[in-house]
Amino acid sequence: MQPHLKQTYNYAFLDEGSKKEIRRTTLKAVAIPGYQVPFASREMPIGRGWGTGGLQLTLSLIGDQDCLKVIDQGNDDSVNAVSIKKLVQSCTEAEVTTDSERATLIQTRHRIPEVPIRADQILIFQVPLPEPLRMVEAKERKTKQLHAEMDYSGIWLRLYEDIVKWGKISIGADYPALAHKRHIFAPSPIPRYDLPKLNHADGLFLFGAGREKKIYAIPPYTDIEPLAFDDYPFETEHFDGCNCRLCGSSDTFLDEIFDEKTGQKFYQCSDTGNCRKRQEKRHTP
Amino acid sequence: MGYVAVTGGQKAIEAADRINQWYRIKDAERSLETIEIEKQLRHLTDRVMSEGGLYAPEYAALAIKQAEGDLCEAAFLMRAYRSTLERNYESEIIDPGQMRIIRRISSAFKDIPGGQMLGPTMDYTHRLLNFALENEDVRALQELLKEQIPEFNTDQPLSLPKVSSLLREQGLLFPPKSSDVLFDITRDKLTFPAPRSAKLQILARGETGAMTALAYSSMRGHTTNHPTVGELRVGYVEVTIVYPFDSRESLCLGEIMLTEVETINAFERDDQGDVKLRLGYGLTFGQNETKAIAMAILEQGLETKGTTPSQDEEFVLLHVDSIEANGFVSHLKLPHYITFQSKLDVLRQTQKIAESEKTETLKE
Amino acid sequence: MTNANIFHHVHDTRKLYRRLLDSMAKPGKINTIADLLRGVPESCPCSSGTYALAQTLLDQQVSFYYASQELNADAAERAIEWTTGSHHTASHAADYLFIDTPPEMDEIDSIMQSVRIGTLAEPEKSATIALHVRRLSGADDLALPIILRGPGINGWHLLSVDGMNMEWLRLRSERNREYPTGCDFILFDDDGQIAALPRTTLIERRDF
Repeated sequence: MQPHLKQTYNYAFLDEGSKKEIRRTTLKAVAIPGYQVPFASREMPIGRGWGTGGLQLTLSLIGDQDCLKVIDQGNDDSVNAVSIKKLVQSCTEAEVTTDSERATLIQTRHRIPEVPIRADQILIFQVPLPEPLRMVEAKERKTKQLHAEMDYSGIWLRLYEDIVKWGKISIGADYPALAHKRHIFAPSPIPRYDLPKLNHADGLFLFGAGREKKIYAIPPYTDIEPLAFDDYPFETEHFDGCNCRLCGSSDTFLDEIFDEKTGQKFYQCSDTGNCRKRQEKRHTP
Repeated sequence: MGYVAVTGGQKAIEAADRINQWYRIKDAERSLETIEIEKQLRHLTDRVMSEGGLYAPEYAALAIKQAEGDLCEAAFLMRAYRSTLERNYESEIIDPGQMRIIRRISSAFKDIPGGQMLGPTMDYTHRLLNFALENEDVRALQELLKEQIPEFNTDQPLSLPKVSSLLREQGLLFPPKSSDVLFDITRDKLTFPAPRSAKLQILARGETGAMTALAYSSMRGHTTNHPTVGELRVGYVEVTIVYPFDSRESLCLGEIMLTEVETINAFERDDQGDVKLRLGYGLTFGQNETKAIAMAILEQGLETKGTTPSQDEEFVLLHVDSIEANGFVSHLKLPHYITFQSKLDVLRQTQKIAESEKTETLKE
Repeated sequence: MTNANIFHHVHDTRKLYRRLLDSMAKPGKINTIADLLRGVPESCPCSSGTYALAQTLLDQQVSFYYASQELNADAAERAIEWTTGSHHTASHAADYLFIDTPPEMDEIDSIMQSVRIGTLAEPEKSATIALHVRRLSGADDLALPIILRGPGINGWHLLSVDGMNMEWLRLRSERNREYPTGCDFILFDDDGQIAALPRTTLIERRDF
């Protein structure tokens, strides 16, 4: 059903001028960890807000020697992940995989794979709202100024008010963090469980917000500190006493699932690739 | 190529694609000709070209057919296609003053040089369903109309002076603000405050409904900005580029249909102390009159200081794009299991805190 | 599929970018682009490293500055302009600076004093300096051994350079004082090796 993209369009879909601009922007982003670098952002053949930022990054990086994994909610088989993979395959000869350890590039929405990213891998995030200060300030001009002056009192106040009102910080995913002790950034809506994985990692993390036209990055071995107070420390999600019903794991991020007949609640790994590997290991003695 | 596993997700989207194809034609007698869309759904193709930012009536008709009439989807198809095209040339500045006019009105002056010319408009047609269209003899009607409106069947170009030129000659108008560097919203990084050329480009590609709503808000209750349409003209304009092998010559690429609107707003005093009228400017592909008027209102609003929504640059410019607004609103259809799980976790923790607080209050 | 003898504007620029990105993400890490430089036309008036980096980074959207004591700078400027669509400009205005052969001390000063470092609100509006040096090494075996710390580096990293004036580093730390403003360096040597020093990297000279 796909038109023959390889013939009609340039290698990796984007024209070379677009790739150059994304590459220049990415290099700048790496040099200023957590700072959102504006870029022109092309319209892609998938919905704007459906991963076009991540996709543009992937297409600016990918070559035939690469092996690509795409996940949505940790799942390789989620329909939008499949759709993105299909598009990349239609305009490159790159291999695709569900095994995060085989992949050279991993494009993701909302999760970081359970197995840590290696130095030779790049994790690419699809970002809906790149501005962590948007929750306290609607205007781009002003948030830009707040970052420039490192005036983060607004967001700290917001966290404090949360504690007063709810007894704890009420942010779920997309928990703001400070990069290289300078810029507060939005880690894209990954769960808090994944946020510490950004701190002093071996691999490179790239963030692409297509609709909002921003690229930012967290290089390896960079200080990433979730915003928190001494007496109200940062907490990840709680899965105390829960196990994956497929692989038995008790140390991974779990999806909560309800049996449609019995209404019974059970848990299952959100990282499906890793879960499958664990299951295989369990079955081979 | 490595081994590629066919997965459930892949099967599902392929099946959905087929089912969608089925729904597109399952009750059809015959396939809709794109030429019919192009030639008989003028306003639809015009709007898709305008919001898609690509002047290509044939492709717009194809996009409409492919999108089964979903306007946003059709504009998106145009936009996604256009973003893959190389920009080989920049056209010379087009001159709507030289427009081959099919319609031209002014709400500011009764008598304007060249006169008012209603042309093709539904403005004064009663909005009654015309059941005769169900069984229409196109050929016969064409013959009849040819006789009745001979002036629309000549090759004589009708070009008329612009109302704004007259006002300018009389020293009633400020000259247009020129910008030295032409910003290209498809290539340059947009930051705020945006240059005027970027504002006009964003509005020219904006979604008709969104722009009309915002312009309406500015007219109705928020600034009671009620500009006068100095002139609205619809017609064909030639697009030329500098001849690549001899920069003294121009090469004509063809004609495009445009709607141009100039609104006259309040007068103001400039830095030199001169008091003159301000002009609002709207320009769209095709015959898109309401959008062109809305554009003139909005762009003028952005030139004035104030606290209303339509004067807020980021509010207007970041929310009128059909592709972006539709993309983000519709992305809510994607799974959000993880973020929801994370939110549930916070909720449960907060519930625990609330419970323990309640118990403590009871104890006291 | 591609002619192996010619620097390919799609595939070779991509490969170069990936190695450059790796070097930028891991400051001081040496990557080789020697295999790609073999495709650079011999008639090219600038060094093959400059040529390949220019093809990868430049187009009509950005400007560049080129300096060389030994090579024909005019011819190099024109060659880069023609092949990339980018335009040559003064060192204080350029987005990318290519320094092909070591300039005099006062020229280093004048470049570094005026090079763009962006603003606190827009630190990305800074220049990137691509500096041609004689040799790069990851061991302590060249004239200028430096110890690097900062993002991208696990603890510390040793990089040795031959053919780089210490003045570059001294002025770099001066101009990069107010992070996030600053300029980023790409180093490339005669053997087709590259390394990068983004503005976040803290450098101290290793003296024994």
